[in-house]
Amino acid sequence: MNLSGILVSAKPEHVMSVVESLHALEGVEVHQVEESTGRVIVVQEAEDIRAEMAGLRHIKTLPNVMMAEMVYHYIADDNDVYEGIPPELAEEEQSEPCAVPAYLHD
Amino acid sequence: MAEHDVARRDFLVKAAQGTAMAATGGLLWVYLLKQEARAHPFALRPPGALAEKDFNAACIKCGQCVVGCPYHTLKLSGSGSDLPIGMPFFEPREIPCYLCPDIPCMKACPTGALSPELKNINDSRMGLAVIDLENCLSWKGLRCEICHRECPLKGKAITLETHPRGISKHAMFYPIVNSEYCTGCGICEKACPTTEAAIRILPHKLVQGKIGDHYRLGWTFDTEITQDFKPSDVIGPGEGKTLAPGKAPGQDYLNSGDL
Amino acid sequence: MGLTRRDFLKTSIAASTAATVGMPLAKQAEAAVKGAEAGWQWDKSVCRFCGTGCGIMVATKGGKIVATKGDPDAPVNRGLNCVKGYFNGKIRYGADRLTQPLLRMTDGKFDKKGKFQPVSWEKAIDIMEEKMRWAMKEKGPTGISIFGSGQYTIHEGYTAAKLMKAGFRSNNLDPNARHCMASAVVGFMQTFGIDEPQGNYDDIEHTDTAVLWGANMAEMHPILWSRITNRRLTHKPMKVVNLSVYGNMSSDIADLEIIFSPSGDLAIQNYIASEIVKRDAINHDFVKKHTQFATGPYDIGYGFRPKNAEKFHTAAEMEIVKNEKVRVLDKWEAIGQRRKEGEAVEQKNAATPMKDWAISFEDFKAALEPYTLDYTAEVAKGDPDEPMDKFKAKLQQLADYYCDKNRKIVSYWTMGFNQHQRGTWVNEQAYMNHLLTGRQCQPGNGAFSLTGQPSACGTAREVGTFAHRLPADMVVMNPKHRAIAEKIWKLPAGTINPQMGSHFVKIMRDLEDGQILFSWTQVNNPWQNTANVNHWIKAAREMNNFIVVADAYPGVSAKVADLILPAAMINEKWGAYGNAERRTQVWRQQVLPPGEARADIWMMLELSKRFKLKDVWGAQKIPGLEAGLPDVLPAAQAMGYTPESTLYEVLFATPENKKFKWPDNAVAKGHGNHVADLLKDGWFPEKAMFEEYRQFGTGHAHDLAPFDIYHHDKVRGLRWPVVLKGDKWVETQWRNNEAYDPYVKKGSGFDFYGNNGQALVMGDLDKPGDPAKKVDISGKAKIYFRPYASPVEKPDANYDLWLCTGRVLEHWHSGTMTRRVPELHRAVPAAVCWISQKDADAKGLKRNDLVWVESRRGKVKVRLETGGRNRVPRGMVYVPWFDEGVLINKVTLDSTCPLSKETDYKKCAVKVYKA
Repeated sequence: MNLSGILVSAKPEHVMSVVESLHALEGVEVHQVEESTGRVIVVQEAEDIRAEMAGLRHIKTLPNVMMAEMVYHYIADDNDVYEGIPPELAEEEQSEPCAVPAYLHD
Repeated sequence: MAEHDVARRDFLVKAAQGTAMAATGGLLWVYLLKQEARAHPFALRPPGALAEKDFNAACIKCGQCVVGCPYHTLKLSGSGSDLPIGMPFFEPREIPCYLCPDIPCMKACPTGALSPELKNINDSRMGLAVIDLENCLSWKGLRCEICHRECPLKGKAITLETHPRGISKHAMFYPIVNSEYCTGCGICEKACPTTEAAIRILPHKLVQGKIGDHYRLGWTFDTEITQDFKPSDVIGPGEGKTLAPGKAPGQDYLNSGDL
Repeated sequence: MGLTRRDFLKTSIAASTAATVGMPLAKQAEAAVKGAEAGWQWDKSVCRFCGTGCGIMVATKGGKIVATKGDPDAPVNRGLNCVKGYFNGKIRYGADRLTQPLLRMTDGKFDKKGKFQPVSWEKAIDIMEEKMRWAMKEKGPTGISIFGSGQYTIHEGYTAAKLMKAGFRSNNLDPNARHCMASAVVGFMQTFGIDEPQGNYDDIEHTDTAVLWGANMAEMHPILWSRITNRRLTHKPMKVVNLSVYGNMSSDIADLEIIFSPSGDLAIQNYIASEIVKRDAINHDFVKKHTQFATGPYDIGYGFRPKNAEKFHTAAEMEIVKNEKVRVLDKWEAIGQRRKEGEAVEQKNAATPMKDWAISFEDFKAALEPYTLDYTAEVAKGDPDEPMDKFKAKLQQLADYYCDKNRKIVSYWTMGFNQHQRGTWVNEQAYMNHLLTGRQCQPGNGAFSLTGQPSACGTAREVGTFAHRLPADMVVMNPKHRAIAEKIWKLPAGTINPQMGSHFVKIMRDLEDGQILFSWTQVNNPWQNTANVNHWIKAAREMNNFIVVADAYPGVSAKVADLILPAAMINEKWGAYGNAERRTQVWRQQVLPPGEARADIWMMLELSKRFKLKDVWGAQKIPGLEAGLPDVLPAAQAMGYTPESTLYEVLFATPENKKFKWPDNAVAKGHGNHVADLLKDGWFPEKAMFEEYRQFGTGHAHDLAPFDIYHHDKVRGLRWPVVLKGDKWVETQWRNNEAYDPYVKKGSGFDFYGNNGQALVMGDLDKPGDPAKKVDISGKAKIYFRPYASPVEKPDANYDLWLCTGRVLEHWHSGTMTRRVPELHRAVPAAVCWISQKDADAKGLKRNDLVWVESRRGKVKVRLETGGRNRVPRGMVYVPWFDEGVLINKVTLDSTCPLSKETDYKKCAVKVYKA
């Protein structure tokens, strides 16, 4: 299982159409869009390195994409490790985004 | 979906507070720590406890130290926990060790698992305080520093570093733990006012790094030149041996392929 | 549900990617925060705790406070808070919050020996009315009293002052601020003729030297301390000096730590003055133009009971209390006062300690002569283990700082000076050294009296909730001042009682000897905060009197009360506080008080409906005032009142005040007002009272802006005097300085206009001279000579240790609020007794031992601490007072500064032994 963080650049006026084409790709998720500069952050999930590189090349060929570069690359050789991220971490993410104790919210 | 988004964004907010590497590094560190904790159950032992392996061997699970502790700090691990059953430990966030000068727990120990070598309670090393810099109020710029003030070895085990902060005209006061003095009593962990303690006691093994023996920090040792070569440092005649063909270092590379 | 593990990993990768390429997450982050905070309403407010006056922002949702944060726009703290401030949002939600009136009853009827039972508000106010009528029938207006507060909102304090002084014609209203900064007030009034610091917190960023005199700012003013520390770290010449009787956290960044003996500060100040004179570091031009030398009597007693002391004190206590009559001088005070050791000095001026007269510079110089380095070091060295030459070198260094004309210098103090048997003197000595060198009222230069409570300045002092005061620095003893107040309050001439009321400690003594029969406590905890409290607990429980305590949580005072009124807390009502730099800051009601808790202002207004003019404005007897108070009812009728008019109609819901309508959405912006809603007569009491109060200061150098200006979204408090320039309300940064203060006479440079129209009789060091020969001190400040005086109780063979008391950062005052915040309680659950390791060893005691701390007055059990944040010298112990489980005020001595009547909590003699 390979995951990659990819920076995609387009002309600002085309950025929304690029985002649409990215959405259409399998295994690709759009995480962040900066309309003013035409920059898009996507995360791609691929079977192996070969598929990962093919996916990146495919993104580069999309209409109006000026550039696509892999910025972050994660290889999980062992599927167990990948799935083995402790549940406590996911739990942590459910906490409130500010320092207010839970009992103030009830 | 909406909830999922909120949680995801929340993560982004937190990630934005650090650099990319710090965020990922922190993640892996926590992960490994938790794995470590599972693989090698650890517990904070009473003052004077021998090294974990020797302690496990010497402790006869009699519970005398628990009885001797005037603050009900010490507990015996029960079944169902991931600690060996019947051994004394403490959880500082519940009740820390209050560092009794007469060390009643150690005196109660019949086997020396809590070593009578410990004469001064301030020399005990039950663990080491570690500050979560990302969630420490003082490191965020608030005037908290409760850990520093409450530390029984304030000014030694926990010191404050002050740094100017131009934008707001209010200096920062960073608490720093010094392992040379920290007893691991956990009074800081107990006192920390954040929802989850931002300062915690961990076994030394889990948190302390080690600088390689091959290097000495220039300012910590005498750096005077000492001219005392010994004869053994000189290669004598006939000492060089001829190596078997093909075994000379670098030979393989030098002989392989085309230029 | 939360994230799956896979999602989580992906999110982190996206975040890392974005961060790596430097793509700002701000927008996303903002959107996320906004999403999470949907429906939150943020509004400005002020920290509930100390006198620093940090701005906070409060978020509410669904009628609850959900979050707070430091206000980044607040100039005091720029978004930061200390750890108490961090918990502002949680102080309201303690499990034992009082929500119903509680009355001691047996079989459904009030019974002083009964148990507390819930009653309705109507019944609570019924019994208050009944008991007040009884007290006034027995004793007249002086039979009732209110313990007020430096934590009153401005509106509450003003309402209390008007109710007592204009309505009940009683001056027995005194705040806990008496315990806190009364010495600072008298110091200001005697020196400058006007109260409160001329400088402000911006001095920190201008100065080269911060000298702390008995102010552990690191713990007690944490946010100001971070500003001083920042200055120390970024401005090379900056020096910090910490003078204290024990080593504390403020020493950590200090360049010079001077541990002095209790009362040794009096000698050190005079040593500095003598060095200034000797080295001719005097700013002659400033001294000549702007100052007058003065002094006063030394034989002023120690603020004990003036009469019948034997009747109320034990024999052990009398060993100390007898000094009120005759003092046998010890060696050091004999030298400092130019008398003989062992001389028995009758304390002739115990009743007239405020007397003062002008002296010449030559006399002033002569008075300083005994204060040599040798003498001062002998008197003032506080740590017996410090070598004498080292201590002397430190004193010289300190004098060097004060004598260096090129060095800007600010002297800060709080309780170390104020809670002092000669508190007023030592305040005045601080001004002495700043005035001699001409370094007062300028950016980075000045003697600056810090304050402890959030509105000790704004309410207790400016509004005047003291036994002798009227708003805007006026006093009840002055007929002109009474006339001004009677005019603004629309009272018949002669309504206000001209005799000073009972100060805080005297109210306690009056309860003990049955002179006061009714006492109402608001926003403070007198039975925990008053020294020698065993007496007062007994007086409350065993005398035939009626004690009402309004509080948010059950503390010691509530426990000794007969009636408990559940009070609203800070963000449950409209309010305003004034901090130590004259900054008036406001907040709106954010949430409703829980249950039947109500704002103190509502309680007073409801009670005022029960009394008619005929009940209070007829002729009244006043002990010590032969003519009594005149019958002003005929004059009242001539003014259009009737004997049947209620105090509510005459004092509060007047036609003028009712012009301030509620609802007032222009300023309320959707926020509620439970006081106005309960009164149901369409006026906005807080705004009306503030606008009426404003009339007192306007044009008299105490000007405040209109209510609505403070509530403007962009305003973060304004420092008075606030005057209208064009269409702008402009604050004043440094008073008495022509460059900043609109009240200063043009061309004068500096103008101490508070003393305008005042004159002093010329005299010598021992006595005033010919009363006909007066010097005009208009526009001038006084430089007082005040001598060294030894503490009245000193350690001896039996009680061998000094006891000093104070606070800790984590807890506010008596802990009723902060001990309800679980995190703060966990951090510092109980008071401990700090002792030096050497003393502990000598007594066979060790850290964590449970010990008794015992004085001639009482004892408490407490655990010993030899390490930690305070380093007491050999011969002293320190116990904080926040913990009602360690009620240290059972041990302390109720000796006060005779001028300010402020108790000295910093020195008495105790012994410590194993419990």
